[in-house]
Amino acid sequence: MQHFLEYLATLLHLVGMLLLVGGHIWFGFLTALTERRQDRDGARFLATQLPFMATVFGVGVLLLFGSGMLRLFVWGEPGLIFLPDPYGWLLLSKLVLYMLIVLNGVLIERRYLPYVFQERPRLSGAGTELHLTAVWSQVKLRTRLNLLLLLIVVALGEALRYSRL
Amino acid sequence: MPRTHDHCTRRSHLLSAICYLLCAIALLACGTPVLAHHGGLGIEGDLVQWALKVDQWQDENIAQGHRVKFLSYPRQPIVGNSTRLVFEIQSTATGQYVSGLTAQLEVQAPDGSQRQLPLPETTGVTAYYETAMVFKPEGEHTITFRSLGTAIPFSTSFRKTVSRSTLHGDWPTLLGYGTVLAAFLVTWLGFVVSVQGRFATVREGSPSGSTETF
Repeated sequence: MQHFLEYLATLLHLVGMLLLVGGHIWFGFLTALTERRQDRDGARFLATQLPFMATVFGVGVLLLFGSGMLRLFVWGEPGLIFLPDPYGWLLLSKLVLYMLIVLNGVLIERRYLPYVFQERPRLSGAGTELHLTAVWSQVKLRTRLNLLLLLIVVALGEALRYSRL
Repeated sequence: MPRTHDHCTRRSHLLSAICYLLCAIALLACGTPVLAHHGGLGIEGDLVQWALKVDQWQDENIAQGHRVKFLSYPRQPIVGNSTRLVFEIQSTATGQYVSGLTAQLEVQAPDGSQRQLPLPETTGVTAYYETAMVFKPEGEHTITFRSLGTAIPFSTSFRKTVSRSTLHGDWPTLLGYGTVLAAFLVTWLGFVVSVQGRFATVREGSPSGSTETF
């Protein structure tokens, strides 16, 4: 049973990484591409997909946190994160960065996502159309910051394999 | 125009750097050697050792040409609970594991009282000496490993703090619990805010209303 839980936690951690880290990499890559090619339609398409991406990233966060906690509870050592060993400090760093990533994600979702688009009158005068606002730049900037933090967390996760308890 | 060109060059350099970083991480992941340890911990069902594939000695001392490694399981002994005390002996000159010692354990409590326990070698695991004991008073205990053999007698001491409960532990334990709790709260906050956002109506106005210029 414990071996199964350990396997399940690893699997869910990988799926969470695919959703969250992979999603951020693709989003960063595609937004960089739209900027480079001055592709306004591409940027508008990405911006319209933001709510869906936020959901995917949220599921990724929940999978990563849930599977990480499951592994800690399966190991069951008092102290949970193995401080003051190097392993524990690496895990602590991962958790602190994880909290920053989640808070940054909350900020993006609450403060910026609802205002990415703005309704404006059409040039023809008939009806209105959606325009990208400057908030879009903030979304891109903060998502890139999250990508950077995520890559550091991934690197720390790899470093855990070298640390000796 | 030249500025745009510089801008694009910088971006392509950034993308290249990210690609190199990802490749390096992938190579590290594939090339990680397994940090095998002789005989393992010998603790049946110890998933920490099993899951991490690394040894977990908590302390080590050198005494008379012997490297003495020590761990307690659980790491933080609790008053009234049985704690396993495990030692591994290795020769510093040859690196060989030393078996067949007649070992004894002396435990000195903070109030000065002393207890002596035999420390038999674990059957089937070379150079592992282990006993279990129940700590009584709270506080820092001095645990002395003593080899009484006819060859080279040696002894070395380790310190271990015994707590009232897992929640009254030392600072690393409390920091660990605090961080995990904070991570849980942040995750919960993010989840609640995200779900609320799905149902909340967008307020009038925005933090910045101007259109973006590419």
